[in-house]
Amino acid sequence: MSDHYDAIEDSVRSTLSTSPDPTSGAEAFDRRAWRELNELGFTALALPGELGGSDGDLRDAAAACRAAPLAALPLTEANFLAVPALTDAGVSWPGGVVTAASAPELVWKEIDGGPALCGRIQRVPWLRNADHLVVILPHGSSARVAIVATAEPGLTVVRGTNLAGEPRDEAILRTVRPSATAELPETWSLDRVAQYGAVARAVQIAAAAAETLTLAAQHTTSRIQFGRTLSKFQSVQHQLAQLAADVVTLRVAADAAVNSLLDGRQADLLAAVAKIESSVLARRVSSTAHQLHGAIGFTNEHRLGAYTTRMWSWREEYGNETRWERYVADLVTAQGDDVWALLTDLNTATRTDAHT
Amino acid sequence: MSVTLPALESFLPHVTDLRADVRAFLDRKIEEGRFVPDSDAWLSGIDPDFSRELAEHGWVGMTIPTCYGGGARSDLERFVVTEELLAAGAPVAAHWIADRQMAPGILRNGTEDQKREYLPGIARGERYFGIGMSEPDAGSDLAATRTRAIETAEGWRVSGTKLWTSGAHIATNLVLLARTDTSDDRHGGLSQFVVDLPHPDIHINPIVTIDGGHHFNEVVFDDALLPTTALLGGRGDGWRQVTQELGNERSGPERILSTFPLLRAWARTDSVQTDTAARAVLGRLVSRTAVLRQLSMAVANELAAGRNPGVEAAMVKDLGTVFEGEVVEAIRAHAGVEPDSSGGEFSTLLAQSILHTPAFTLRGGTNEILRSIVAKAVL
Repeated sequence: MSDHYDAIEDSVRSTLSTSPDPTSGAEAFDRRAWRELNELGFTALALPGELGGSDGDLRDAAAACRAAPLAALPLTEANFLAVPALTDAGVSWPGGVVTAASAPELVWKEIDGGPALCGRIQRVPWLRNADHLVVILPHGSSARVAIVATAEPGLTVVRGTNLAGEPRDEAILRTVRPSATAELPETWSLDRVAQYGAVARAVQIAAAAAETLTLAAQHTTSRIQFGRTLSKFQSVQHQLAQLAADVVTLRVAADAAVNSLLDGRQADLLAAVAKIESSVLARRVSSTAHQLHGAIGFTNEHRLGAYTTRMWSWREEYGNETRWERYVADLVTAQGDDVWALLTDLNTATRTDAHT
Repeated sequence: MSVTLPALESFLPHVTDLRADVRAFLDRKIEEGRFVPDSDAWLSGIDPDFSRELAEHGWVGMTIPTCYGGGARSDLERFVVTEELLAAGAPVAAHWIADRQMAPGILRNGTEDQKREYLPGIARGERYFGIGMSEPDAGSDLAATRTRAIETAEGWRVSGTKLWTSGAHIATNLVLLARTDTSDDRHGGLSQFVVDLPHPDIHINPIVTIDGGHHFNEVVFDDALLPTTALLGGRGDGWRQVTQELGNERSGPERILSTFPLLRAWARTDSVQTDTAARAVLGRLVSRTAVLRQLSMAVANELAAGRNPGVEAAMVKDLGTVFEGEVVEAIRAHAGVEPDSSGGEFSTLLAQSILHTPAFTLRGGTNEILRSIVAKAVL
């Protein structure tokens, strides 16, 4: 199976290989790449074919996002936020450039016999470039999904960006007619949306971290100081080892979370774990990589900063470590304060699934 | 460098049942007062009766083939049992090394006679091994081993001193690394032996650690005669064999969970329920445990597949043992309890954990050595 994921990664990398370098200062949004990825079926990988998707699963989506940490397009929002909601709601892919957001403050109204949406949505990725916005909003104890065409009158975009310059715009909706709506099953809530978003960012941080390791290894084996390459210094070697171990940890945490979302086993724990680890390790990974690069690494002409500024932004998005740490503490409480029962998904005090 | 994630086979019904059985047994033993959960009990909790009792349940030497008295169980099943024993802080030190690395080592490198001689006793929880690797002048630099084994007509004559041999005073056997031949390559000329104890010319002297405990020993070989058959594996293959063993030694759950009993106990204290800062710390520690378990399982998978994930094992041990210390430090800072080995249950556990912390990142190869191994793979 790893060949299958390698093929997805290779294909996405190849598509992005002609994209402007993030250090070039070119226009941010990569419309060409979106169009090509869309034609290749990579923008809605896990969506069923009859809804206009590629019939893949979330592991395929993770592979695509892993190959695109610097891509200037809402690939993760489409694959990790829009697709799961549309799949469970049975709503077809709207086409064009699709972004998605959780919309806790959005108000649903029935006006003239049809639904209309009012309110604000904070920090929507790539909203200014999107043709369609998929929103998930509260509905009783569950949630519902709505698709809004961004050309619809009543929708105002207030521009914002994260540390890496990625658009994080505010959407202000004044009685906007959605083009499609559907209720989501009872298993949905905005927490679930946050979970998907958290795992998406964990996948991206793991990918960015891996790139910083590659850059650091290249730099330290070519840069000469005191008559030898930096990589000959033991203190440098140990920092590289630490970086490598963190990179592997991030990958394992992200993979475990993606798997858990797929099969439902320990998803509450493992999605939170992936975001906690990536939010926490973003600091150590970026500081180590910058230290190993010296001053060149924090200039605009070097790629390293493109990765680290993204990691510094992504660690806050969909909940930082503190938010998810508290969530995990609540999971411990729900297991009768038994940490081990939570970790092993086996509570012998309440066990009923022994032979299922 | 690649680490593949285990499929979620750890949730196969028979494995979950096994986990539940072991946990029920351990819960009962704790309730009966048979043992008190302790940090680092896999190294310092020496209790031969308990080891034998576990063996009666089939939980020692699990992966040894049935023809040598073992249970022919999968590596995954063994992994699950070791996790449960560690999480409960059970006194498993007597048989730990025999189970962890000598059973696989003898299976890999031993003669048929050695397998018949040693494996059934390991599976019965009656054979305990000490590791004769480190020496006074060969700590992290294991290739500096000076202990010599000279081949004679009667067998091997061994002279030298081994240090930091945990459990040697109760061990029935040692696995010895000694220089048998001269070699230009400093990794060459080393061989492994299985040594039967007690032995009239092998002297075992206790070394007491800062917690007042005794598991360390100095082992002096005073021209000790070993039978020809004591050689384990190939003559001159010692370095390769030891390196192989380190995969088993370095990546197991005991490099993550040594202080887990403290975390488990702390999570049940009142202060954690109400203090929001402490709750975030609890979430952090649980998260880190979860991801390190995933890593450890990934390496176990590699080992089970017959590969030698030396680099990944080194990573797990580096990250895991640093974390074991972080657990103690984070809990100490939030618990506000004075550690006292003669105090209440939590205070004793805290004291024991603090006093053992310096060992975590030293034993089984210092973390600096491990980072050098990892760096070599990166560069």
